[in-house]
Amino acid sequence: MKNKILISILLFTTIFFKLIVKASEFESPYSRTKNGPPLTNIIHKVNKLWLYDWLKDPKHYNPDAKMPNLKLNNEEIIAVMSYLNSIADEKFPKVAWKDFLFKKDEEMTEQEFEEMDKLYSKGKAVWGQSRCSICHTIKGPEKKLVGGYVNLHVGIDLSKINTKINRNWLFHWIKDPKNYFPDTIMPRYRFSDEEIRSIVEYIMRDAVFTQEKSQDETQKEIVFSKDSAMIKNGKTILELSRCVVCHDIKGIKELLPVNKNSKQVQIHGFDKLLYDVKCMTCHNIKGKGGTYAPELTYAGSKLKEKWIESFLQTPDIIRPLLQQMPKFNLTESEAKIAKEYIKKNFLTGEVKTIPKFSIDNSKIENGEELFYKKGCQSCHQIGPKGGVLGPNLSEIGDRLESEFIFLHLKNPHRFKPDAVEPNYGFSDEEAKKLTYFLMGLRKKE
Amino acid sequence: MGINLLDEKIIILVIFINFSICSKVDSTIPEDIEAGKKIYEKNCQYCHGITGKGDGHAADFLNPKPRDFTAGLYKIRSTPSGELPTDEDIFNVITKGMPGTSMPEWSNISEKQRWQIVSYIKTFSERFAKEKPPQQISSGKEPTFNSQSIEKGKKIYKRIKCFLCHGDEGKSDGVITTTLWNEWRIPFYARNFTKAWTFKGGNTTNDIYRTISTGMNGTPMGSYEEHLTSEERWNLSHYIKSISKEEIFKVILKSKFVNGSIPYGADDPYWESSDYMTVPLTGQITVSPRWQNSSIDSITIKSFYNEKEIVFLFEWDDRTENTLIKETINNINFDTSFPKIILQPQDEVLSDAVAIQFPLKAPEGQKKPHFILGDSENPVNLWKWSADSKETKEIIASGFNSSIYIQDLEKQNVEVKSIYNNGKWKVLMKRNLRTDDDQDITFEKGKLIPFLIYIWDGSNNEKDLRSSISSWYYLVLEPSTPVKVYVYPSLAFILAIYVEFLIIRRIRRKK
Repeated sequence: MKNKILISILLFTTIFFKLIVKASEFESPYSRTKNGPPLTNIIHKVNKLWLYDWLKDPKHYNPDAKMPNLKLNNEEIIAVMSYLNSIADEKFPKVAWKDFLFKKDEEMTEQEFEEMDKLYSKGKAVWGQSRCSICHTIKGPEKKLVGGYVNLHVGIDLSKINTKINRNWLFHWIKDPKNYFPDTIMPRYRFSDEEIRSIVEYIMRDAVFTQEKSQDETQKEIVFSKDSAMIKNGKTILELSRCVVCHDIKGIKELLPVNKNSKQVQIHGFDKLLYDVKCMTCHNIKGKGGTYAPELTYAGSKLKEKWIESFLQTPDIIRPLLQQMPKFNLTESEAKIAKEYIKKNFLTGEVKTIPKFSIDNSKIENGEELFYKKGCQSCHQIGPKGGVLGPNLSEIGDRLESEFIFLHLKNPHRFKPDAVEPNYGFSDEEAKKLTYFLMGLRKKE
Repeated sequence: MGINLLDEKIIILVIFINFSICSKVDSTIPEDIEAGKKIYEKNCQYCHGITGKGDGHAADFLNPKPRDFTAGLYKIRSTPSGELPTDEDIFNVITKGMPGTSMPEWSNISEKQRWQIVSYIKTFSERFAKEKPPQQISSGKEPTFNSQSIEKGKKIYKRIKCFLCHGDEGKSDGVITTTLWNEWRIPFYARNFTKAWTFKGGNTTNDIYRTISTGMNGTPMGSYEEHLTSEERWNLSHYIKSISKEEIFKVILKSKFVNGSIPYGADDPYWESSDYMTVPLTGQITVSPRWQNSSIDSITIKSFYNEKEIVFLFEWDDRTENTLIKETINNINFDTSFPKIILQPQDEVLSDAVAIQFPLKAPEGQKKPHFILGDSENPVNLWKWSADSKETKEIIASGFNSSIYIQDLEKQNVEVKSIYNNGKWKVLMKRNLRTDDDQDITFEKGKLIPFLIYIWDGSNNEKDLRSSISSWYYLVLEPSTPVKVYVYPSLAFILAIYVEFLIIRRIRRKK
């Protein structure tokens, strides 16, 4: 028995030490080992014709394509596609679709059309709520840009997406993007299957996502070869073209050191949330991640517990002129995990240096006077009145910690050096007055 | 209960796992390792780092970066792709250094000490203790180096797609190299085959054959052992050897006299007959902002002149043609430790440029202006060509910390032509030997005229003082050969023969 205990202790320490090495070091979502998507199941993802054209010249499909033109001839392309076909998983999970959904609008019966339209409209609404267009550009018919506000080369352009992919893959992709591409920046939205179906319907049907094809292209037919010599040739071409530098491809030897951490390690709690939702695509934590959304390094000292929890579940509009946070549909328990982590770790010591403020109704009036005297309302909105440049302050007392308000008023550039807000150089007394006023701005019960 | 056999095995296994995490085992003699450590810490750690991670103090300023010994990935090996090197491989690199990088040769320390460094370096990576000693690859018999083997090699170069990285003409401007660099900011450069002196593993056909066969671990250069027979690899190495050029190092550029019109076209075949020199360049590291990571390392210069004008042809290899100064939206900057990519939007893409610098007057004696933009007593005149405007502007500078100004339009006397083709810029500049401008140098025959070159590579974020720069070199206009030079010696020659002939005849007659 003693031996068994010894063994288990040793095993435990081994595993424990290995885990410690990984312990939450924030990893920037932009530090991917490979930039291209995995190619192992590409055959299940894209249409054959699209793949052929893409291999022929990626710039033809997308002028901003990051993949080089490998100058392959027709035979080589077929060989490559045959190899990719040979390595794909035989069973890729299928989703059942109602037959009529594959029909064109005009071919449907009235009842079918109505059912489809319901789904389509719902999809369009989900698309809007989820704020997909923050990351994804869509170049409309007149090359007019729709969406894609995060100009950080995050989402791909979706203008012709429904000529490229199929419903089945799209469903699985939206359901769990990391399952197909572990390093992707695409977050996992907690959609219900029904919501995914509706959004698939919207993307696959709406004219925004299509582009007319020339006639001769559609008539071309591509047949994969099962010939082993052809498949081997395809493999050789993939090897010689060094595709493996950017793509994961089954059966091709790696050339560069590959960091497999993200795929192998089981992560929990907040780490898992960061990985799933990819918060750091937009938010910055301790110098890592995007700079598009507010920095979270001191969010624990800044934001109130209750507010974090409710905001994560249903993000509200704070800065009307800027983009809003997408609605990821986080569950209550997930929001709780995030809240606890933020409150515990994202802190600044400075907050402790000032005494706690307590709500004092008698001091509100003084602050209010000062607020309007200094002209804060020209940028900030309280109730129905005020400017829209700064955050809406109607319920600011529910959102911000009072100590943070005070510190921020004393120097708005303390936590955000490039903040637009001017430094008024308030005295301690003035800042206190304003803090009391702002603390009192709460949701009416 | 006794220990059963299975448990025993598990214990050993677990202890081994724990042990291998905490300590490194090495088979070589501890004293040698200890001695090697001392030498390493005296000579090597400034670049390779005290822990062998390639993060020494100098590492930030080096390009390519020093080797990270902890990864156990070695480029120059005689062993199959992915394997460890043999001890001799490491020893050879220490002894010979690595051309085209900052690794010097260490033949000045004793052979024994170099072997001790090898033992110490091997302790940085666990791989040496864990893996079996590697087998060397066999090289086969080298076919004769001739035009046929080169021709065969050329076909293979195309067939196995070397051009995707190394470019159609071997200038390292292939689509993959430029994409990895421009789109992804992943710092991998394919080697430029036309510059023999930068081949990391050496430039003999043997060396090239070895690199083709073993690949370079940790880079996109894989092994071609599976794809090519031994003979094909030899042919390919012959082809690469045939397109590689040696560095022609000179101090004086001779401009030849041309009777009539001088070539005024960058592709004029007349240039083939010209004398040329390769000027080595390095980053400007004397004045802030210091620039250690310059990308252009050499330029070739040719020149001709006639009674009226002088013309220069500048040729240099640049992977990318950067002609526009524009704000990019999707710019990604790389962190030196691959593969981390950090986003830095609103970075600008700059334009390629070249400049030649002359003193305002050819100096008497050795004294020259300060090499970076001259000095207050000795201002300099720069002819600066920029790829965005395709124009050359004459600039007057009198020191790097005083103002620099572009001369007025009527004082601009330099004409220019430029083309970019297959990873190479060719820029041609022409000016009259004498001008009305007193701030222009006068080109006089037979006089030594100092000149200096700057190059800016836009894709490498170079502008102003962030440039490649050479030291001072000299230009000399070779005096045209007057007719007299040919007439008098021949006359003397004929006269001599005639006299000899007379003497011989007289002797014969006397007999």
